[in-house]
Amino acid sequence: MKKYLYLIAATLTLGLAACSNSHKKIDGDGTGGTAGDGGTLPLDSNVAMNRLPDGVNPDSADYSVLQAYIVHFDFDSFTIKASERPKLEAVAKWLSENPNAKLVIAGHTDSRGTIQYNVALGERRAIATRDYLLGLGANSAALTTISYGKERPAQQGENESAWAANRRAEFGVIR
Amino acid sequence: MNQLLIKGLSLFAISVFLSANFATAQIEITQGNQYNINAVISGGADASKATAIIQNDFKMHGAFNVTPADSAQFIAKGTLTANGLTGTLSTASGQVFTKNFSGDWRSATHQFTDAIVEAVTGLPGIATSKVVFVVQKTTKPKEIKDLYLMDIDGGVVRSLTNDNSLNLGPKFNKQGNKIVSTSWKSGYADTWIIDLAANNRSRVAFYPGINSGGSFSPDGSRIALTLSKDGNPELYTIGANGGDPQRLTRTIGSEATPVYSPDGSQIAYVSDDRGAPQIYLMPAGGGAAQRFNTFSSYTTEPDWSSDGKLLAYTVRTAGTFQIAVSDIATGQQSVLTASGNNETPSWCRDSRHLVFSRGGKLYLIDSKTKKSVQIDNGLSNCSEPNASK
Repeated sequence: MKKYLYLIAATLTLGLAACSNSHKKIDGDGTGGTAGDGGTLPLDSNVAMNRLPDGVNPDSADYSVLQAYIVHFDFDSFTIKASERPKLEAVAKWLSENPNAKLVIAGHTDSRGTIQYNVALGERRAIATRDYLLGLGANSAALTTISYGKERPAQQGENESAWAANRRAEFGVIR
Repeated sequence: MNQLLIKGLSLFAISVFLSANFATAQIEITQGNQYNINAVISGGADASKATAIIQNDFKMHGAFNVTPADSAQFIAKGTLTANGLTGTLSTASGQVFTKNFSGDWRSATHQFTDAIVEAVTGLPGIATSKVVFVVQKTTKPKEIKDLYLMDIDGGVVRSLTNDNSLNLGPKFNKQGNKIVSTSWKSGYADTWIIDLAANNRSRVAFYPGINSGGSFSPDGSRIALTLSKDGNPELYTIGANGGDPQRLTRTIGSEATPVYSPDGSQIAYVSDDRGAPQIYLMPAGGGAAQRFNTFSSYTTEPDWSSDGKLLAYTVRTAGTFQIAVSDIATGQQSVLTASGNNETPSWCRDSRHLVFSRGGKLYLIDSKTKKSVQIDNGLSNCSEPNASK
């Protein structure tokens, strides 16, 4: 299910020409692929990943500026929900109005699940968020992803409210 | 080495059988047997501490009951010397061995324990094992986690990092002299290697995106890890110095926590390509992946036993996380823990014991008896223990 939701999101937002065709190839056959086959990378975001310029530490990002637009996720999911899209549109607009700013997109998970898996899941959420912004016309050079897994919760506690608050992607501004 | 040892033990078994005072079962190499042992160290100011250490080693191991001499099948006598310890193991029918162990009194005592365990059970001892683990030093406003090293009994705790940042997922190489881990020291999730002998640390993978969850190949030449440099968290191997990335997976989901089989031919890892995370096995050079059935819809953190036969992992069951072990050939599963949230199982070198964490404490568990003991290291908020092989 998650897969199809993602496909819809990816197709809607990115409109990558090769996207839907190449996805068909692997649909339903699980993990696979061969190392170093030099082929296309149909499942990747297709846009190069970035780090900030040398000497700029993502820890210095200011997460307060865009805190109204924190994107939330369902349990164990990286799908951008319809409810979150207006926030991303607002962030895209902010970026267009602040062309010199750079954003650190930080992916987080709730406290359930194991540590290392959550690092990967947090990154998946950060990349899904980044890709949605790219689909809205954001400049890839302005966007950096980072994952903190479950290590930096927004809210302490073992309950639905804390878990929901912690499954998120936040925007840190670097000026 | 193993063959020689087994030969030696068979001869020993025969000799004890002939002595008629003991049933042969008492020293057959049968896992799950219990042995009564009396262990005393003498000689010098540290003797009573060394006696406490060796008795605790046997209690933690679980296959030994520490008893008075008159009810013991095995008598262990050690004498501390200027260079270490001279240890003798005997039974009612005679001496099993006398050996010299070098090092400080504590290290020499653990070596004596391991020599006894190996002679009696046929499996390597674990008292000389080291454990690397994570300690959460602070929470909000800034979460800081650093790496620590200790003896498996909780002694000789040593800080390895002091970064004002996050360090996660430390794993020993097979030789036990290097540790690979993920550190946010640069601000990003990078893969670092600590060289314990050289007492230094180097950043080996810092591609854009995450560089996380690494583990060494058995020969130490490569590291399997998760990179997202191509736009999705996928498995790669890189050279131990960081170059030559080779991509192993290509899915829409995330891949994490790869570990090599002890012969280096396969990698076990986690993927959520089909929804919730599951364990898969694939050839270490890449190729078709096969899902490993753990009878659970949520399974993570595989660790491969040194004998190559068993996989340990964490399963989510009824909203909690438990440690389980499966025989790879038969698929037979044994769930080892029953309560709380248990994480990060790591095999000890005997393919019988594991270390894991629960609620900020570290534990040693015997996969045969499911008995666990807390490792008392005097620290709170511990996680992600990894035992040297």
